[in-house]
Amino acid sequence: MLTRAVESVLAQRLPASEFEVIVVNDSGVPLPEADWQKSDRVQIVATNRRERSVARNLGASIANGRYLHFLDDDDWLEPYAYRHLLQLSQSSEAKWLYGMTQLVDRKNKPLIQLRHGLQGNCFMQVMAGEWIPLQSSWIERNTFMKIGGFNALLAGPEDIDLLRRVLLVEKIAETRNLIAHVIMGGNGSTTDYSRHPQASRQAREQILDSSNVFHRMRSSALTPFWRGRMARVYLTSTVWNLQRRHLFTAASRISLSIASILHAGNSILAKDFWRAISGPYSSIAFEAGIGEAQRIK
Amino acid sequence: MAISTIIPTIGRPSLSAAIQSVVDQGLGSDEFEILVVNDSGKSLPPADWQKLGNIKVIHTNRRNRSVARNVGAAASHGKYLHFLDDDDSMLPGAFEALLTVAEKSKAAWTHGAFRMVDNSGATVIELSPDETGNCSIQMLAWEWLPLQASFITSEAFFAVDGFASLPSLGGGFEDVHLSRQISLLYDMAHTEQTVTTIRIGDVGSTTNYITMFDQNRHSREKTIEAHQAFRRLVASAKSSPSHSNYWCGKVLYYYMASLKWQLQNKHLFTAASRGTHMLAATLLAGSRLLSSDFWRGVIHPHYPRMGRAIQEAGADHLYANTRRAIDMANSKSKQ
Repeated sequence: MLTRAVESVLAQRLPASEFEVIVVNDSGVPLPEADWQKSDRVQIVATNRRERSVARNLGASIANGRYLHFLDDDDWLEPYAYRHLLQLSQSSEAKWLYGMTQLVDRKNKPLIQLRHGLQGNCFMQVMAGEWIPLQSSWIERNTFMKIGGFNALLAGPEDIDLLRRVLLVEKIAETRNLIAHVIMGGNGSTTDYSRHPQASRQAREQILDSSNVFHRMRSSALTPFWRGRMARVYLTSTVWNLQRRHLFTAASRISLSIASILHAGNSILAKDFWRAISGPYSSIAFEAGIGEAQRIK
Repeated sequence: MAISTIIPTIGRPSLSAAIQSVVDQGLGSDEFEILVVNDSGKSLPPADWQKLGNIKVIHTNRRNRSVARNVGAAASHGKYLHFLDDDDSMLPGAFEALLTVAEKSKAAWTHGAFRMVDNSGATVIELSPDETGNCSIQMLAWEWLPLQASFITSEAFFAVDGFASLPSLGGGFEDVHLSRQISLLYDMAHTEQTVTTIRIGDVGSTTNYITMFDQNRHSREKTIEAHQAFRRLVASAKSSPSHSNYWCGKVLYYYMASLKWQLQNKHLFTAASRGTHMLAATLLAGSRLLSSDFWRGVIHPHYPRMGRAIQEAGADHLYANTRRAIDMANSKSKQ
């Protein structure tokens, strides 16, 4: 399947000088021979069964491109994917660029299409749980290096953690074109971060500890619904910290919950605000994708 | 594979000598490997060592030292990681001495004595750090263990996610920060054998001494933030073989410094947490409160042995930048 992934990149409709492919072989054994290994655009580095994040960070460290694109060995790209993203990069200052994702099952049968509609400062949305596949994203390399790359201590939710840390300081831009086909299900840990609730929670707590989080969330929570979500983020964090007896952190979180409610102003009169505070989150992109799939049926 | 030596290089001609000093350790070729991370952005001039089997070259493109070292570590196979610079070299018998202690002690960080030489090769300072066991308080106080003279288990290195590659910690402080992170989780061991010579890298070095104080601050806050930090620091001070009273005072000192810092940045709840820890550190000190050593630790900034050695050797002129950084750190933490 690695061959399909690499060939889908080599087949991109872009001049060869515009991109390189770095295969990080983390299997601990040499790769079986394949034609793509002869391409002078492909570089293979071997790591020795590390975390996925270590392998990806290594790839990023030896990369030369202005943007980084992380593809998994069982996923593949649309032929015009890079061209769409390149066009987007020319009209946008965002450091995270992305397009649509086609989720497929293990037999390559299409499941749903993800279109997120996230543009600009969407820190609140990604804190709430909105997730964009790495396979459909370009991340500016300098930004990636500046925030220290993937956190290898998080096995599972490291992709959403990266998205959150990028959006804490930078903006995002979307192209309405299909970029990647991503396999979901089975051992598809690439898509299902909710299977790692503990690690996911811890990652979110670390971000809440960073400076400027409150302001960044506030400026991306513009509707009653998102203002409610913002209060919920701090409320759930209060409970989490109380359970672990981090009393001072809990006290800080509860004050920020109150601050978010006070800042919400008139929004607290809206039904949406209270719906957002009380209910668990369901991803907009997934809901829309599932709705679409049912409509077609 | 026992040892992976990782040498980031910017293409200095001394690289060959550094590599040769590792090859000359006399270990079998299945017991060690060398990973040269060429960060010069150019290809390396041809050299004899490139024909050897267990040496691998990886190219990065002018990143910082931490990134290059992390790349080497990610591609390594050894149980122990050894980070050497391209202008330093190992002394005969070094690997054997370090390996024997590391295997026997099961420590995550094993270090040996080291010699600092000037450009003519004359010894300026010789130091034999003796940190053993839980050394978190000594590491927090900026005692320095050179990477060249250390074996670090791959397990411990990856447990703390390697060298911090954030710019705020990347200007020469990444080694101290790594030792702080590892000492919070693991123990150390040492050998008195002199294992390496380190060329004086102060004048004309790429290390950013101006931001050293800020880096130290940032690194210290990150270390104290860890939830197990307080317990580990107190245990480290209490179990210190010498000056235990002094180190117990130092725990209080660093929480006090952090309290001030957090207040200045208006992190009130974090400041309150530091205050509580100060109270706890005082209560846990018990009868040590009666010792003058304890209060010396609470009141005076710590002067690391490296700084003392420089002064005693009359080598201030060679370490002008380092001295300035230490003095600056001390005067700022007094304020």
